[in-house]
Amino acid sequence: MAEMDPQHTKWVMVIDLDRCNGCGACVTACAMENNVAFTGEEENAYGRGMHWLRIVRYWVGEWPNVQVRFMPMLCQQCSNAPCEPVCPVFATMHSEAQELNIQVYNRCIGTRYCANNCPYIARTFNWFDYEWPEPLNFHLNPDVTVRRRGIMEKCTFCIQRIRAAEEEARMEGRPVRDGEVQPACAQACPTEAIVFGNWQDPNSKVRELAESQRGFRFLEELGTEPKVIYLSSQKHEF
Amino acid sequence: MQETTLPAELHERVEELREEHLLLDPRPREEMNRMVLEAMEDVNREYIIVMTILGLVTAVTLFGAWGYLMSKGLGLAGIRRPIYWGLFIVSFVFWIGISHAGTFVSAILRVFKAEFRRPFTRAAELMTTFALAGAGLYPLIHLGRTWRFYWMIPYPNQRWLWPNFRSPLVWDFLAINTYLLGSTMYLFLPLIPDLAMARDKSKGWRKVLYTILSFGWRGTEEEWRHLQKAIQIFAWAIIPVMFSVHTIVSWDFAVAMKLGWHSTIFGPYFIVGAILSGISAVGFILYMIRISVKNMRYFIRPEHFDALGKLLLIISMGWAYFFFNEFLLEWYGGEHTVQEILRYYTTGDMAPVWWTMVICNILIPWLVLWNKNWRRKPWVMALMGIIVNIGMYAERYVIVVGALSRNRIPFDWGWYKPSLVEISIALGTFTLFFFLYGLASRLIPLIPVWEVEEGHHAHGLKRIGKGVVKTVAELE
Amino acid sequence: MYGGYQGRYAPKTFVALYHEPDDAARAIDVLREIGIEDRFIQVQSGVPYRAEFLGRPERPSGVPKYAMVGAFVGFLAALGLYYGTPLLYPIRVGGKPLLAVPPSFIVLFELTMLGMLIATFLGVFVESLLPPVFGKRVYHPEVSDGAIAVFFQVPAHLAERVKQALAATGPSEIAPAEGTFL
Repeated sequence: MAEMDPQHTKWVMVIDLDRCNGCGACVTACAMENNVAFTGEEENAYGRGMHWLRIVRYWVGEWPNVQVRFMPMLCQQCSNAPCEPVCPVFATMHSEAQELNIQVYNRCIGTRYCANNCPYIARTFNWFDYEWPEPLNFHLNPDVTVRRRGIMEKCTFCIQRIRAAEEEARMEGRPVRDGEVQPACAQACPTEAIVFGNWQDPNSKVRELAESQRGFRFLEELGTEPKVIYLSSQKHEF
Repeated sequence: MQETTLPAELHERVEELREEHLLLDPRPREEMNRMVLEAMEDVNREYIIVMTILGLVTAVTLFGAWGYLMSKGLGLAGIRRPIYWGLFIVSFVFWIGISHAGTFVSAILRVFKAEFRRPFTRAAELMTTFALAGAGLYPLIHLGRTWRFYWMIPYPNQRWLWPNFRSPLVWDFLAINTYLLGSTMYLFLPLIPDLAMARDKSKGWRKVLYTILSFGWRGTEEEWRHLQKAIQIFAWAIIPVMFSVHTIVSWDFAVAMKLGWHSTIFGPYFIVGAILSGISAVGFILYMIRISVKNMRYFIRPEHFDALGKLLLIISMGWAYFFFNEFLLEWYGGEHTVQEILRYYTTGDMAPVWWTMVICNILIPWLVLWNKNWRRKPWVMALMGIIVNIGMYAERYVIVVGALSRNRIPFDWGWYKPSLVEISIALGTFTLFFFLYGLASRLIPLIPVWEVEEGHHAHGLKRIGKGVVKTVAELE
Repeated sequence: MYGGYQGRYAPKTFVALYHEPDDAARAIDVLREIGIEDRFIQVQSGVPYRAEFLGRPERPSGVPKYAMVGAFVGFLAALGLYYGTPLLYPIRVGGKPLLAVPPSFIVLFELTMLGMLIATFLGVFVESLLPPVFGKRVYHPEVSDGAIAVFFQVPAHLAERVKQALAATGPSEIAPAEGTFL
């Protein structure tokens, strides 16, 4: 591959649940990177947290033999995304270049149908115009739009970082190197449970990890073809 | 009427029949016109007070609350992740359901030549139009960015925006538009001769208004021929449109990858539910008209409530059949999430609502409506209208909110409590409906006088042996 | 209709008012016997009567044609919208084909019906030449009280004869009719 053909990138994420300790660093990093609004304690408790990435937590077994399991849950960037065809205004659509599921904020009119149709409950809605309390307003990432009230948003696989890496690679006339793109969550994970890469690159780390026997896709039976691959030696069925 | 040929001993029976059936009890057209116009012009103090209150309440609870909602954001509603649709969509489906009343009464009963429909086709059609006016607001109210609603309309624009014709919401948009325009035209066509009548009989601003609205109708043979043909076409064509509207509303849910929604029976189930709430609402409206509008006791009689009651009973049974199908089969299928949803309906937080639905839609109608004496009491039918509609509102609440509360990820299960703003808007649509209806009751003839007179021509008495029966000639 | 005729041949319009369809039907027979053709007779009534009831020529209504044309236009519009416009700016969603046939039936159905209903509605007005923007028309306000008004046009010199003949059919009124703006 002389030059990375945009037709041939397929970004996937591998999350090793055996490594995940539920620390929540990814959630924080994601919020900082993507200008995710700060909704406050009360709203958050009412289920209006805007986290694009959340740690789903389960207790398994009966007392006293209780185990806790964590599962970072985010937009799975489905190839056959159920959220896409229901949008009346094409605000959520498929990017053919990166094979990502795109949310176009400016087009969104806020029907929230996509969120209802998402089996992963991955989407969040701007219920109000949120303010960033001091000094959080200084951290806003200039590469990412700030969303206003009434529109839907969700994990983008840090598309701004993907684009930056792609542009740099194109300037240097080479394909994007494995590990060059790292979404905020992967970067922040202390146990390196999250790995990101290009599926089309046969030597990539994600490819290697995904071929593990522990690999599975969440709610695979729905046929949504998610691009997040979980690794676990335990059963993750609810 | 051939009563002269009937022997004297049948006189008593004839009087009985006449009292029972409007269409056997003809009055001169002139008098019926006068009665209807009197009802229209009867703007008394009570009416003004009631309308002012309704108008003010609507302005505050519906439009005021809506403006507040738009200015602050949808967070004022109680919806939250994962219950992204709440009372707005429930009310939307509810009002679309009510809107099926008019078309059902006036199109299906017209096509099948059910004569009892004659005096109240217009009352029912008005319900369709105003219920749709209320329902049509909700897709706008519930948008996160209401001020961008026109992005759903396909017209060339510099923004390079175009709607997605594969989205059920665009189907909704098309279907509701078709139905709203179709049913309004269908309301207007049979109204023209009555407006012409009002034009001939009224003075002042009313004369000007009816002159414009009646389009110079004179009742010539051509005019009648074209009008009747058009009414015929409308009656046949609006029936599939009506079916399509509620089917498509049900598809908003049924096409989704959401357990508890993704059900193949939703189309007919919703249609039957819509007709159930619509028909029962007609009973309520007829009662209101009968007690509050002048001279309506002549036109709207116990026989009409009786006929509606029978229809209601049958449709309630139909609804129960679909409900049973929908519930039992999913339950039997045994999928974990579905079982959890059904458990949530019947014994979880949703249980009070779910059982309200079962009691109001099945138990009470079945216990009451088999009895002819009860069916014939207008207030009983009005009460049934309220009860069944509470049940149907509960049904929509269970489907929309209940199914969304439970999903495939137990960590993200949720509960929902409607907020004050939502409740206020939902109530505001009711006052809007009654306000519009009240306004219309004084502006247009509520009774299609020409259709009633035609009914008088069509009906007669026939003696068979020692008895006498009602006969109907097939006119239109 | 007889714009060129003057004097005793000039056409005059009269109206005879009836309350029973039987009488009106007889009156129309009488008029025809005198030699007034059907096209110079017009009946107005407060309820629809079939042409056969009054012995008037049966003519089909043109409204269904409008309905058909409207349905066709609506169908074409739907075809264009559903199968045409996505090709101009293809956006793929949900891994589904750009032009999916089954959902197209929904759009096709709704717009076909919409076209049909609008055309039918307009057809009534166009076919009946309503509203009367082209001048005055004859009308009798008692029509809205259920009376049957038989309008007819005769040359002035025949008017008396016609009136006498009609008197036997029991009209409640025979009078010259003037066009009015409605």
